[in-house]
Amino acid sequence: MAKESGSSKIEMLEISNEAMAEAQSSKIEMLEINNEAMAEAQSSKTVTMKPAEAEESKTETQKITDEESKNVPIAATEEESKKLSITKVEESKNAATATTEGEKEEAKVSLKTLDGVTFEVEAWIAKEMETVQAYIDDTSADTSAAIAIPLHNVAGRELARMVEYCKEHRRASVSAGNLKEFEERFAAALNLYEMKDLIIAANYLNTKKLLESLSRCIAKAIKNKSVEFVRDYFGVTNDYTTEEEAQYRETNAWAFRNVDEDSRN
Amino acid sequence: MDNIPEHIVWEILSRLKKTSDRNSVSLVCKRLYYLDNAQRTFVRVGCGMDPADEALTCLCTRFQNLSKVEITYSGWMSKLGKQLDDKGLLILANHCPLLCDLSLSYCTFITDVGLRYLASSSKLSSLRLNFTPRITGCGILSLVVGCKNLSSLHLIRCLNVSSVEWLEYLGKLGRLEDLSIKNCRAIGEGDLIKLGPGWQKLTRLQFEVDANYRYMKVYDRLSVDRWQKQHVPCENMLELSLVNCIISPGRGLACVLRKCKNLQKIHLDMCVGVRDFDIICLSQRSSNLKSVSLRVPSDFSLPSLVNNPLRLTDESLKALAQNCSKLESVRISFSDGEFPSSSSFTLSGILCLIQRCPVRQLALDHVYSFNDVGMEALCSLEYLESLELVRCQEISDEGLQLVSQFPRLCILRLSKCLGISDDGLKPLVGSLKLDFLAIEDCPQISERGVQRAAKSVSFRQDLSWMY
Repeated sequence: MAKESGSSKIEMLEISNEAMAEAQSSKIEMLEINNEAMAEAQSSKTVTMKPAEAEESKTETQKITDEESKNVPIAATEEESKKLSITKVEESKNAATATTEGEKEEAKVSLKTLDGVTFEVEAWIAKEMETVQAYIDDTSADTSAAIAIPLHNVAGRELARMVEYCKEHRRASVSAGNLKEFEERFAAALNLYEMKDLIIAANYLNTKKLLESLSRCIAKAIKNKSVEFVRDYFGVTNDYTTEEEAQYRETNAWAFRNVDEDSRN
Repeated sequence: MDNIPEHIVWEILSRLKKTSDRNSVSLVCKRLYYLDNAQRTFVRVGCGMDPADEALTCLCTRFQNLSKVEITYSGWMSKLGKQLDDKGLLILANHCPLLCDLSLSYCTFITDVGLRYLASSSKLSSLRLNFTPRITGCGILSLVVGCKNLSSLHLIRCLNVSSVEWLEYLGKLGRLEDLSIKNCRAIGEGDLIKLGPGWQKLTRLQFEVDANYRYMKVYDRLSVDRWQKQHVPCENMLELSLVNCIISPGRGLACVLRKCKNLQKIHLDMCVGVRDFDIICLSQRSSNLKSVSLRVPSDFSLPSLVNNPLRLTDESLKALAQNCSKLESVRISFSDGEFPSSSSFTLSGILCLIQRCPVRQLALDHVYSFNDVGMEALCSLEYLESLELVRCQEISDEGLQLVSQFPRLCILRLSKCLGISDDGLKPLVGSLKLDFLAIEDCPQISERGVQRAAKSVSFRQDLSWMY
């Protein structure tokens, strides 16, 4: 409904613009077509993943913030503002934050994801992603500054989470207690599929701290759980025959159950 | 899960430590089964493995990277099936090329023949035998001759190990770093001389004589005299624990005490014959000492010494205070003899030690000289984190109330203290100063009195010790 309202607003604006500048009508029409396509794609995406809607909107905000850090054409910026006029306040807050961060860290790296979103991240975050850092080291300073680094295997949603992780991790690492709390909160916000997608992305970009954190969380999730639970959790089918499984269960019984490795007589 | 790379799944599985978790995961699918098989390096087996040889073969064939095996028949009964015997060790030798750590407990059917099979396990570096009555010194000798990488050997209640040629062989080989001999009736203090040049490499020695059999053993003067002429190069010793030993003045183990240069941890428990001179020499040469534990024998424990008691005095504590500036852990205990010992350490000696050194852990057991004045002195200790008081009957409520003023104390244990009641704990209630409080068998302290005295409280009251 909000989107429909936004769409109506855009139509009204189009009408008034048409009256004022007939000469630009063809240009405006092209922009409209692109925007409508994007809106439809996002709309369908949102509908199919309702449980993650909050996360999605957060991700979108992150994307827009990163995009705004980049020097994009004024017309495109205005179009974005029109589409998301309802979240104007949030937008300005994030814009302010981005500006502040921009002032702190002059060096920025452009990353372009699989689904075409471009992120501007600080150099120290890029350094955490060893694959990205290796790419930067292999190219000359001039070209790396100009061109966005393509990440063919990483989607925008995962990259946004990874950037968020790096920032929060640095902030929280002041004390061990805060760090642990942050990692648990970060993991709790992810469902199983998001966790798996993120660990694959972290593996591709070789973000070691995040990899370790996610490995720890997954291992923790399957501790003290039944065989069936672990199957469901990992989404695997049982490829044992009945005889094989019975045989392996018997073998397992010989290695003591519920005995920690560290426990001694 | 198919799209998660192999090394990530490996990383996740490697964080599962409990056997039951590993067992569950290996039944999920064949992929995880093979990963777990490759990752499993430790296995513990024993009762319930029937038939024993087949089961062990199956386990060794499945887990091809086993490096640590523990076989324990604690609680075994004949109805549980036959125990593993020498053939089991042959299976291990043949199927576990990477075996480096073996532990056998209560394996009453394993003999010297089994140890001979293990002699071909060239990677074996650690062996632990706990109550294996059919193993003799010959078996151990054949094993140490074959396993030249052995660096850790623990023998506990190996009742039939009498010859010590294996000790002599290990000494000449010079690789042994960790030696533990506990309650092996036929091995006495004098036998340790056999180590010879092996003392050089030794970093950890635990020697415990079975107290019930000490007096039956003939005192071997010949081997003791031999000590005096032998050089005992134990400069690399870091940890020394002697229990129920006879320390003859100027001989035997007294030589070890005096030669240690880098000792960090010492535990002397019911060692008859230790003198101030031994402790003074020790503290002067081992200035890196971090942990001292002394349990002083009663005056009546050895009748022949009644007329000439060899007791430790405050001189030992003063020497430790003066020379060991890194001392963090102190435990002082007097034996539970028929009559309470006349304390050889006075309050001023104890305070001299704990005030001069950065003591973090202090444990006092049956120390009658420690009283409320001592507790008052603890108020100024800036490092003390853990305090344990056992049968310290001179401490009253007034003394215990001072605990709330100790700068850094977070752990307090009280056991069998007669002079302390709920009143002593009142300043602690609700203050959350302590992380952990344990009250054991104190007749005047009630379970209700300890509520909210610490973040975590443990209470037990078994008063049978009083009657």
